Amino acid sequence: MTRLDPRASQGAAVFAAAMAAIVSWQWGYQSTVRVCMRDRERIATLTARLRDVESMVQAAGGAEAWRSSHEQQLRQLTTRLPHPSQLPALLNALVDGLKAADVKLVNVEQANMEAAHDGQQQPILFQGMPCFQLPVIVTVEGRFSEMLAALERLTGEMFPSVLSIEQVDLRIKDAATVQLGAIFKVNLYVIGNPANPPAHAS
Amino acid sequence: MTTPPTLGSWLRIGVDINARTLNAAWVTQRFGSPPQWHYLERPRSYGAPATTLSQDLAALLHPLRAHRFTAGLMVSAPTSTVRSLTVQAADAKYIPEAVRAELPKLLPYEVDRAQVQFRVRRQQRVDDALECAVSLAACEAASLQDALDALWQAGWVVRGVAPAALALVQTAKALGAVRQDAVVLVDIGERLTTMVLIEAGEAVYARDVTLGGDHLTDALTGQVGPVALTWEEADALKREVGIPEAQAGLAVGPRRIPVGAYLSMVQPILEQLVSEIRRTMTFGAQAVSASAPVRVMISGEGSRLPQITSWLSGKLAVPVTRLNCEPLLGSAGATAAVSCGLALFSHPPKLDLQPPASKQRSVLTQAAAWCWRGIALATLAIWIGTGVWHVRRRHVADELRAINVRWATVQPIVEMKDNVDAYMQLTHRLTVERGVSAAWFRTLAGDFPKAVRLTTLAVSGPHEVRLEAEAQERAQSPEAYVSEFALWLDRADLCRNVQLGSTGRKEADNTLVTFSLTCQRS
Repeated sequence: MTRLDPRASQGAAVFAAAMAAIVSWQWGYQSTVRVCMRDRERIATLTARLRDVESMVQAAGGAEAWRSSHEQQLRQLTTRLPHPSQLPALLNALVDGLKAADVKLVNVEQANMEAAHDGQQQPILFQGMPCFQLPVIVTVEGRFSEMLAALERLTGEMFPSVLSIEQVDLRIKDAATVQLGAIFKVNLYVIGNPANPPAHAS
Repeated sequence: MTTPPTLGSWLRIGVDINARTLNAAWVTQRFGSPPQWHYLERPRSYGAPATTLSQDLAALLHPLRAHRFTAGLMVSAPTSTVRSLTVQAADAKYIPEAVRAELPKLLPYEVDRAQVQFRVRRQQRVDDALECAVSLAACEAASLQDALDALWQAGWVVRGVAPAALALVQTAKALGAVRQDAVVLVDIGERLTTMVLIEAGEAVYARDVTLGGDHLTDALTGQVGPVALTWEEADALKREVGIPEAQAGLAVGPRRIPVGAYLSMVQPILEQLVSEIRRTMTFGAQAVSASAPVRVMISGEGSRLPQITSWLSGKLAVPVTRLNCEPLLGSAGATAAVSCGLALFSHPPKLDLQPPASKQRSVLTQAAAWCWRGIALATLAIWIGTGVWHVRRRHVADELRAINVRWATVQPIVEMKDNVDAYMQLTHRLTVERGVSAAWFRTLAGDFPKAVRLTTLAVSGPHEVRLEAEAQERAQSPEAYVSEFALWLDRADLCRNVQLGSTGRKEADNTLVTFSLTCQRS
């Protein structure tokens, strides 16, 4: 039998050993270390989040207290972003809110409902549903403090929609009585597909 | 005897290739423990020398095959010569030339057939020439190459090739058999006898003579007096009888051969051996200006002949003793002084006769062998590290599992909180980021300076604010109130980048200043 040249056999052994070392390092050691480090990071993250959640719950007086207060908050928030089918009711609420204040409602103009966009002109989506805005121009007269009270009412948590004030044009009408004439451009926001009303909407 | 060395020990092997037998001595030493010696001998097969030698060497070294690329294997040079000589050269670069010029006088074969190695021991300038004391070793290149090729084909790499004479000196030194006096070491092999003259512990003259124990056997083969002997019978008779004293009527051996007939057959060979030793003692000493040797030490298979020491002593007129390797190699290797000496070399001698090509392939192969072993050890370390990390990973996975269970219990809370946060964020985006908050109007109305009356306020776009107002002179000038108002807008964090537009006093009322400004809503 012809014996393999020792240089070739030892060269092959060096190559095989180097391959084994590389494979062991890459797919044995490195991958095990990587998984271990990833798990450790996950533990650190979860531990920190658990600590935050537990301290938050404890501060609220226990899990039940926290849950009930947040359920209420969530209900309110959900109510303030209604379905587009609720727009007529929202306009009623807007007019009623202005009338309830000591300001004179001169005019209300509404535009077409349009999709709301963010700063990058991307449509705003919430939980997968599109967000729409209804621009409304309101013309009122009255004192500044009364107008401010009306605005606070409309942007407060009791108003059945999120309302943003986009534009304000306010001029003094009568210097003696400090009467102001104001034009507000506001947006009313709704969420959901207008073609698919929610199950409970009639 | 054949325990292979293990990791953490070193291995040195000496291989002596004889006419009929191969022998190997090796020494292993674990760190911190005394060296252990081993010896193996194997008869050579009959057949084509080129292939059988390789097979025989592979069989001889079989117990050590796992270390064939890492062990320090030394081989004796066939038909070698060692000399100390003095040469003169005009310059150091001409020393090789001067040495080469001396070779025809020193070698018993043509210079072209020789593998030569020399080293300059000392040099001094005498007049215009450089006088150099040189140690020189040489052997037959073709025979050496055959031996090296046979070992290579057997899968072994050779670390060095030493003349048998230098190996004998190593053994004698290791056994404490040489001192400062001049000694001749004689290794009587099967068909070759190595003679080396030592002075002050250094080999100064050595040569190999084609004469050995087998020549005595050859002489006894055939008709010895009234008896015809085969080669094997003659060899056994030689080993049993050795060199008997001549006594009339005495018969030796199982075949009752007369002593006279026996001695008449072996006497010429023995006399030739004695004359060669005598020649080394006299001519060798004269050639290298050494002292006359005062004793002789013999080794090799021939030294086992009964009565040889006393017979040689009588002939040479100096004490003759055996160079006994038994303390190192046991009784089987008691006469294997050459292989023992080869194994004693921790590094190849300076007069290493290994040809450069052979040395190159040996170095390359040994480097590769150590390299893959090193990498394999590194791989082992990697796997140990992997195991340690695997254990850690299991602990971490258990910990993660426990935390996941806890996390699952608070998951509804987290989901509800995320939901609320998402709603809050959206509301904030829609009301604050995209419009003016009622709080902004509240702040504007709350601390509005008394001396200033707002006549027009326009808020448009994401941040643009335009104001028109009047300032009334009171405690300070209306212009001062205008400036104060602009500063207040900035300070109250209502606007930034306040830019004053037109400003001027009213003609009808000189205490009133009308002004306009623009700014960016904060």
